[in-house]
Amino acid sequence: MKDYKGKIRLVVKQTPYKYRDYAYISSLAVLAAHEQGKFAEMHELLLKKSPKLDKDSLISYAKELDLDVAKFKDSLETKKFSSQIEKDLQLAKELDLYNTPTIFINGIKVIGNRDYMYYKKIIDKELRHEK
Amino acid sequence: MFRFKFLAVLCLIIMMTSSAFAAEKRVNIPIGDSPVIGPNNAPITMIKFVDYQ
Repeated sequence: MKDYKGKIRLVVKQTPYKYRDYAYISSLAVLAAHEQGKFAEMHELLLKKSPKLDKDSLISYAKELDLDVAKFKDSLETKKFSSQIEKDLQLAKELDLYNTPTIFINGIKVIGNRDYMYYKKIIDKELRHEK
Repeated sequence: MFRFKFLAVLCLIIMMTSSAFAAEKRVNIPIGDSPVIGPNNAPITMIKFVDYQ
């Protein structure tokens, strides 16, 4: 999506699947990084490192991104951002979403991982309409 | 024969228009205080529901 710098605003909602061991703690971790101004960096890193997302690994990623590790750990342990996650899960439920990732491009629903060209086609069409 | 053709054409029209409507269906999703990457005035807004694992 780097071809579209300045053209795309990406909003990320957390919908960890409850039967995966590290999905929830990963969502807590990315929001903890967000609190320290490094959401984009942690988001990218977790997508790259998945499925190595156990607590110790997450803490090592926080170190890698130069976060305040004590604050980060505390945020995980107290589940500081669980209400944000619950809100996103509730929203997903209201929208009848059962697959991740689900992406809405200007409101148009795309379910599951698609190849780059699939997204590009929709985005280019949206950009043409916008002009 | 004429009736069959008429029905076939009718089916085709229904299929075409329904897929066109499906393509245009847009969902309005509140951004709330979710984290955002990229400029707020971007012409494209992508809302992604993720699970990292």
